[in-house]
Amino acid sequence: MIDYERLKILTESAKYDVSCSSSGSSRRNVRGGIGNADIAGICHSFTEDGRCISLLKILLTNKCSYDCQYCVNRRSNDVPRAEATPEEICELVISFYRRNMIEGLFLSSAVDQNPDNTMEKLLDTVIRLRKLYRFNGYIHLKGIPSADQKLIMRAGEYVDRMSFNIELPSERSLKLLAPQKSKTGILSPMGYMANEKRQALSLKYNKFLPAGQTTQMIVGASPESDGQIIRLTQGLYKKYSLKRVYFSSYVPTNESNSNLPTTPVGLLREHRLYQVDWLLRFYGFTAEEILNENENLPEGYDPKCHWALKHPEFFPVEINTAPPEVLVRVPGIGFKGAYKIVNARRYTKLDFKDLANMRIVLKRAINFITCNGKFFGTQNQLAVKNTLLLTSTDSVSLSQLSMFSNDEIKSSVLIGEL
Amino acid sequence: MTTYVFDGTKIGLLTCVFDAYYGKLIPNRLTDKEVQVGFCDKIYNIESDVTKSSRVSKCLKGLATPYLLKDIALALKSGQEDKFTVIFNYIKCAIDNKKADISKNFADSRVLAFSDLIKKVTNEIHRFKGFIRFEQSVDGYYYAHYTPENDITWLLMPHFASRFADQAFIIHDTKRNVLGMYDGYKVTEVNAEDRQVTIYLSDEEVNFKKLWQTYYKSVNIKERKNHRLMKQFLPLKYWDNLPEKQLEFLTF
Repeated sequence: MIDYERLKILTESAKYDVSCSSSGSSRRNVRGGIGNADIAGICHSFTEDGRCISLLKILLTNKCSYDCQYCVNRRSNDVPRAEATPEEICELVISFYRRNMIEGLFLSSAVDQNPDNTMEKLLDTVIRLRKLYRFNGYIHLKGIPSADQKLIMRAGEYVDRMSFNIELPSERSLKLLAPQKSKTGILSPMGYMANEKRQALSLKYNKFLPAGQTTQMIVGASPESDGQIIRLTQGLYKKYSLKRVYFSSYVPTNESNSNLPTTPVGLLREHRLYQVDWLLRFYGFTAEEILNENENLPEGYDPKCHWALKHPEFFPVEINTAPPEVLVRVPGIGFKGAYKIVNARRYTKLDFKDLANMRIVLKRAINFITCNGKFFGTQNQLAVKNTLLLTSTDSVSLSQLSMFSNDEIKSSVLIGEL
Repeated sequence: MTTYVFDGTKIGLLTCVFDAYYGKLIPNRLTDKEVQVGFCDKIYNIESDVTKSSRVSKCLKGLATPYLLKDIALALKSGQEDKFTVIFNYIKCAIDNKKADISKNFADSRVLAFSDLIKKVTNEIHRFKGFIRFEQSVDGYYYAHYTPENDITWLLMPHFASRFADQAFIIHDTKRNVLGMYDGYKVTEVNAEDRQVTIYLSDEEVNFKKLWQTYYKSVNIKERKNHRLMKQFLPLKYWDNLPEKQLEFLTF
């Protein structure tokens, strides 16, 4: 069995991969086997940073021959190194799984020697788990860019989900910060995996990558705007039929580097990008509707409110007649709310009181809806904007003024705002 | 206020429905406990009656609202104080609207209350699919204890039995002292009543517990600490049964 020290090193190196979902696959147990996958995914615990633990997230090794500047495992970084054998990983997965601590395995690795060698070891671990241990729980495997196509395709037969990280939102940034990785090395396996999956589905064969592909990019390490990022995200969903695109806001993991920011990027930007991600995937929005190419998302209110404020001609919406795809565009009405409204209005005309009972957020919705033709909101744009603003103060950091405050604060003192 | 007192079973509840429609006053409250009587209160003690209840269940099958009996069975597992009243109101609403499926009329407070009640039970089932932790005993079987708000042991068993098909295990609800058991072939439920359950754990468990705690600590990103969010997803009431959240571990 693996020892505490190595488990610690290999987990700490793996934790910057955000994805930890276990949904999308309904793999069944086999006779004499152990485990199955739940289509909705199951969270087994939550870390102090509020992320769900559903898979055992671990690297085979963190000895890396690459030197990507944003990465904690880069060759030139002075961190403890360790590796585990496929056998040790399998034992750990099975013993955690039997105690219901995890839903499955999230396996990744640093590039040891060359991509093919690393991919072979990953594949070995996965096949061992499935064939030798007869494990049918969830497996998320990280693909190694530029590894041999045959190895990657073979892995697709055994795992539930695979992901290649595109790392950064543009080719230019990738060249600058991850010189050993190439755009084609990352995107071409995503392309042929997506094709294979489409073909498999058309033949009603659902054992190839049942939970599809995902990817991840770092936000804030490079200068791209939110507008560019969400256009890229939309393109990835369309072209490669991805299940998810993850964003991870940049956390400095290395000694100072002139190409990278020194302070962590706030979590709010990441949160806003995820909100857009939801709008793209479920709410029928397009990236072009939400934001212009070179704009950033406003921090004060969420992207749906941002869109609603820019489109007063779309509102107010009549609750009793509007189709569901229109209802979900109203700030304060989400999917569950729209479901309740659409079902309930078959029986009776809905009023504001009914909406409140159904726990629709009237505070936000009131300026955008009518019930039976009645409108209780305000037409004053500024007042509307104020109701949508974040009311909690903890997102605004207050600090004592100093002589060396930045220009913005200094000027606000001068004009008497503070 | 009219109160029906009955035995808390499904048969008893359906008998209450029968009596409410044949002669007695419509109740405002149903309960299976001793109640304090107010000055103008009317109390009926309802005796469970199989013929009455089977007539009601036959009637419920003929209504436009689907899955009534299944939903009632699920709602009866709830641990909420006023569950019988909520269920009764929902049944009455379904019977009064014979020809309409009322299950999604969320503008009706009775339907909304019932749908919330069911959701609380199913949500807890889903949560405990993740938050239950097994430990291996010296005899090789796995044991987990937990304290759910609703009586969901029986509803959790199929999930774990298909997942751990080759592993004998026990899930112990310490609040009700009910044990769900699986021996590798079939699932049984045992009510231990006031007997004490003793399990001898294998020596290796300490090691696995520590491995898991090491993992839990390592996978956290310190720079992104968000304690409030963690507590929202993992409320304090679940911490007792989770090794990664136990005090001796948190203090060092």
